[in-house]
Amino acid sequence: MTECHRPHIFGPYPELIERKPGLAPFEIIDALAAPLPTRGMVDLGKRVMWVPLEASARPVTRHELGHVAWSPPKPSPVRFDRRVLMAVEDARVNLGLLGLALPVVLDFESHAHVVLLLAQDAKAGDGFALFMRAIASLGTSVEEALEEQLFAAPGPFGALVVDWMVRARSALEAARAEARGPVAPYGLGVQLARQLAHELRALGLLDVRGQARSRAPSGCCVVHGEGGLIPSEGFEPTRGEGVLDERAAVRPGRLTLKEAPLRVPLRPGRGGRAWRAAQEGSVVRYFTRLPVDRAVFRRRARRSGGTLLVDTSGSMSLEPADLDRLLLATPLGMRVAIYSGSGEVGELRIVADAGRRAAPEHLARFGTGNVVDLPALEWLAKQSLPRLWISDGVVTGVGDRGSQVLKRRCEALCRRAHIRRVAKLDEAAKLLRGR
Amino acid sequence: MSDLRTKRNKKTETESRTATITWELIERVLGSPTLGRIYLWGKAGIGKTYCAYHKGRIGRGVYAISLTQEMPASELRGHYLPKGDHFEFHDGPVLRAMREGARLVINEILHASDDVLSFLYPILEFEETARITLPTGETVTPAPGFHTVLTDNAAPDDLPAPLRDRFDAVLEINEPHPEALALLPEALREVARRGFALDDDRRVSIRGWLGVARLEAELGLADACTVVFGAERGSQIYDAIVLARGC
Repeated sequence: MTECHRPHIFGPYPELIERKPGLAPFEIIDALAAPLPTRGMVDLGKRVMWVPLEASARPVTRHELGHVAWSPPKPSPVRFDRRVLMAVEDARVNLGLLGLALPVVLDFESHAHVVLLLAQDAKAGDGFALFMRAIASLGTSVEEALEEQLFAAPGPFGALVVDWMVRARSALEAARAEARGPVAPYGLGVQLARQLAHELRALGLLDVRGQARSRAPSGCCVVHGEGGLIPSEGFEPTRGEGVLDERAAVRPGRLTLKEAPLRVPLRPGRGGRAWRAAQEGSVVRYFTRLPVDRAVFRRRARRSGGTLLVDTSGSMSLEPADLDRLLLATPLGMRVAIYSGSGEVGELRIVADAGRRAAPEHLARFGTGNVVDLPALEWLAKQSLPRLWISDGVVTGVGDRGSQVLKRRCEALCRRAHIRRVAKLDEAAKLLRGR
Repeated sequence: MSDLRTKRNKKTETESRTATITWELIERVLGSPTLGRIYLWGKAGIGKTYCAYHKGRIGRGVYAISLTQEMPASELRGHYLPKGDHFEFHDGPVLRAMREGARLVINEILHASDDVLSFLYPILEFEETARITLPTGETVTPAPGFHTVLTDNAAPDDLPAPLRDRFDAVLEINEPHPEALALLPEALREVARRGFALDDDRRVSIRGWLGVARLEAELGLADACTVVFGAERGSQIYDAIVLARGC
């Protein structure tokens, strides 16, 4: 399964390449979990980038980075369908990337998808979409395939589209060479788009107001929040928590971290501290070992660490007495925390650590819901190994509502942070005794 | 008269701004003979340890230790070692630094065990109070010049209040050390500076950039990025570097 939500691994670094450093970092959102009209998008004004956070998405992130490097935050106002300018802008960026030896090479799936879309456009007789898709493909690995396809089944516009592909490519490359930079100037792109719009109008593909009747979404991916380019009708990109919430359907609750007073030894009697004999040290403790192995010094032994997180929500039906029994089975160095929630908030309470534990009255649950599974697991992911999570696997967010996306995020986190989930207390106690 | 007012206004304006801690200030602090206990903190790979080892009063030597939760105080103080038919006490780094009037650098202080923290109380006292009595019975007081520099990635808030109270200076650093940046090729410096300013989970440390700079000539940029940052992250960083250079 694809590993999601790993911006630090698969995520791009637009901040490193923008012309003027912005005040805030870009927000990188996993496009795999967001409903987008294209595989990747970028909002230069609001500093948000949507890209699939997976290994095969490199061409997508590369293309979006090209926009960050070379596209203006606000597009030039034009008196024709903006999708024309967007297609030319895509071509300008792709050719710029090619010039830097960073070609946009689509994987087999994306390649086949684009070829299929072009065939569908041709079949539907959507000349405008043919032009846009072909121009936007310039500089990518699919360009040649589209050209061949247009030659093979030209239809009424095929030859013209190919002509325009050649014309746009040579104009952009010549301008790039003249500018002695990695990319053709933006102004040249606007000029080219204007010429293309003129031609499209002459072909009847744009109406008198310069707008196309085609409903095909453009392949372009630059979003300008206010009055600028919008990639497809009805798509209103949002950012921040809003998008995350939408993606997750349910937002995780707010977690409060507390430590109960750990006044009770985890085990009655001895066992709170562990020492070992050593040949080096400053406290002579085992003098009788001198003739045997000379390990006469006392040194602190390595504690067995680890962390145990217990879901104490209602569905687990755990009573303080059950937790009491679990604590008795817990190894001395292990940190134990319980969590549950209610409404929008939840609490994670540390109830045992370093050989000491909380009194039974501190083992009562905070609420009857889960609510904060994800933030609690994020806490667990930062604790020492091994990490055990006692839970029935039910994951909820605000209002104790469940969500598949939230569940997937928890599963991905468990895989990444080596968190082992056990469903039952007995199973956990057995595991702990075996350590 | 109006000139005077303008000057006064300018001065007030300057004084009312929040002060920023620069590396230049930190180096002055590290060179100051009046500051004996300095706490430096900031993001990983920023150059705290480098500065603690190489800047300021290091003429009498530098003793360095990095703490872990498992480290006992005896490793800092010293311990007996068998020698022939008897045991000899060997000074630990803290004791050596005290005897020689050297600098003691304690890294990752927030990882210290209770044992080590208790041991550090008398060490971090003012010079006239600081002393330690060894298991041999000898009492050691710090030689003139002895001072401590403590480093960690986080603020000292998690340390016990009495220990925090002993620090003469607590300095947070947010910028990578200019000498570390100077080791990078010109084309990588700005990229490195920006990469360092990112959020914790996306930050690219200066060590990473230095690694790329060192390996680039040998392996090429793409492979250098892969080796230093791993396959996936390295690909993204490679693309960003090439684009940044191209821009």
